[in-house]
Amino acid sequence: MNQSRSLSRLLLAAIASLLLFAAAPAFAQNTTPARAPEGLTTIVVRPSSYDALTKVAVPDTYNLGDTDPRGFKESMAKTIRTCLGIAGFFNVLSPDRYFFDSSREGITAPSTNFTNWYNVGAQFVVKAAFRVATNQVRVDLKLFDVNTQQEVDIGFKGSTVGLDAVQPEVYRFINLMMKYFTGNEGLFGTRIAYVARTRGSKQVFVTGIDGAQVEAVSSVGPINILPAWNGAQLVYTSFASGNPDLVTGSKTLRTLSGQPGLNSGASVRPGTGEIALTLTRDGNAEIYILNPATGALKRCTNNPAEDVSASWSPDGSRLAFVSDRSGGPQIFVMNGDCSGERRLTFRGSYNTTPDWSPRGDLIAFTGRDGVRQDIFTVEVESGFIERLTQDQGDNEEPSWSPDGQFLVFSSSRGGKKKLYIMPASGFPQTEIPLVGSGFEQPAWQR
Amino acid sequence: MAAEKTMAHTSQPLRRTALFGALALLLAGCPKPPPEGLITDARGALALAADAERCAEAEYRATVLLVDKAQAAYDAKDYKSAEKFADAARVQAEKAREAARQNPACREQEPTLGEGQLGGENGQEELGEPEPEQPAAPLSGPHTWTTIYFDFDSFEISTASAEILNGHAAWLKLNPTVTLTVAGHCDEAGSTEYNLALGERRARVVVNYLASLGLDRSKLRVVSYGEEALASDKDNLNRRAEFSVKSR
Repeated sequence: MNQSRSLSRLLLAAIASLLLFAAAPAFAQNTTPARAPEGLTTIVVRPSSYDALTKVAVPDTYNLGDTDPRGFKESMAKTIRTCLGIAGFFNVLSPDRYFFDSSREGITAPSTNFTNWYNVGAQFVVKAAFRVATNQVRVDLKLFDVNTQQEVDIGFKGSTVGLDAVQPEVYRFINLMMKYFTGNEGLFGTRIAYVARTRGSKQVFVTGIDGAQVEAVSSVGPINILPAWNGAQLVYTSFASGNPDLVTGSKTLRTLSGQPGLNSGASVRPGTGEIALTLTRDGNAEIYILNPATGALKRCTNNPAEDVSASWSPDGSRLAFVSDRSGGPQIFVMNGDCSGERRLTFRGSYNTTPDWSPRGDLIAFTGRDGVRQDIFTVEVESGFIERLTQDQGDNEEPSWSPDGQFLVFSSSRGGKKKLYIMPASGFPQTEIPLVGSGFEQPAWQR
Repeated sequence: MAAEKTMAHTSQPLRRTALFGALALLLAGCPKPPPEGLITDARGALALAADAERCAEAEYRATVLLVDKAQAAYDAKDYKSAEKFADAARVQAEKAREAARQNPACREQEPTLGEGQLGGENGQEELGEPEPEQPAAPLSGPHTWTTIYFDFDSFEISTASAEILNGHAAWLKLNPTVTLTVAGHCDEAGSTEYNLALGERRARVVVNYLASLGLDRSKLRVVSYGEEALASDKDNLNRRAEFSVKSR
């Protein structure tokens, strides 16, 4: 068991180190020219490393009882397959490859035919089982190592929960599985707000990172954009009144800021609940800090250029923002009391949408390189820039995961805008499986 | 990027040709940077000749054809042909305008639309007409609220756009009870919020220009839709300011 686990880890480490090489060039830093040596930039990691992904089989869910009022047989295995696919470190084997009837097996190691699983190419098997009794569900989720022919203890105990708590239990299991394989707990069950273009209008939605449990948030007016989390609530910019106001709510809107002109780009200060936002009431875009409880406004920037897209540091002591005071838009930082403005990015001529990492050290942003937009990070202290996406359509509007390990972003690879997730290293990049397209402005709840 | 910026406002064909010749020599073998303002200028010229659609139809159709050819060549990255067609379109647009001006039938139909005639005698007459309860009905003849276009990441008003705005201002002077809303828009390139700010900057520049012609600022409203309300799948048709009017 330990052998194959450490092997998996070794492979992941190998992928990661390969990435460090692949991610470095192009937008590059210091004395490196903007275009790095060809060979270095064009390392294609995906196809070769695909074989290095851990192969997992997830047979259909086992119903150990008589009833299935919520379709758990369908949903549990599907959720696990989808999530492991998105996680990027696994190759989830298609059930079409099974040459035997997996439903004849039990959910214990002795009742599992590991030779069969070995022969379909699986290194690990995940089994999900449930039994419904009145309004309670017994949930069992288990990880088996094909090599050792044993169940692996990842710290998950089966449990009896309410009907609505089955999905969260599945996420909890997958997150522990991620921790076992990668050292970091997974983020399944966390939520991402985004904007979808639907029939000519733009509306705010929320989804799980596996594309499940999509909820419509905005419903008033044709244009609702730029969602930002305020705890469990969302604030966003709505044109419902005809003017772009900052609002919260769904069917009934509460206006947080309704100054003439823009009220946009909100970022909620951790700890205090103050909102940094862009107002144009002075004749051009300036960053303000709003106390939503009192309505008090503090003007933060004072510059004839456009100052937009504020993002608080995780401790609320500093702000990143975009300004075109030096020509094209660039990333700037300043103190939380609005003093000490300084330019942070000096590469590229069009850098926007900063999002300050929850770990504090990096700011992710969108940079234009030639005609394409891509995702980059910049180290706050050194100004060191690293490129995370390249040659895959336009990649925009990165938003950090709560643990600062992953980024969600929108990408036009494949022709239409969809949402993708990647680790801070840039690889692997996987699509959030949402039905449709035209998705943008993702904001990870944190 | 630097190339794009410096290219932005070379409106004289002569200078542009010279610049391109020099560039072609310098960059032989390299792909030429797309001349950003080319199609915008041609469309601006076409918009200026909007009257010709009714009053000098054949000339107008010929202009449209040339603009379309310029756009097609531009899309196909054949910038040399695009430039040729765009130049031809501008010349043809001028012809169409002249032909429309010569058409006596049209001159009668639109007495208040003469370019550059701000607040003429007609205006005084119209002012005396107290019809505030009428909805947005044309108080002094019909007016086409021609959209104006901008270059990439720019909020400068081109010469062609200024002429269109002069026409709008002339009509507004004759209709002082009307409130004009200028909506600034952007193409899809760039960030949502930066484009909201850019769209507003475009709308403000237009309002400032109209105010400089003597219009009452309290009757001029600004709104930005950034990249949220695209008009086309062509970037140069999205970078625009649109106009809407309301009585009272």
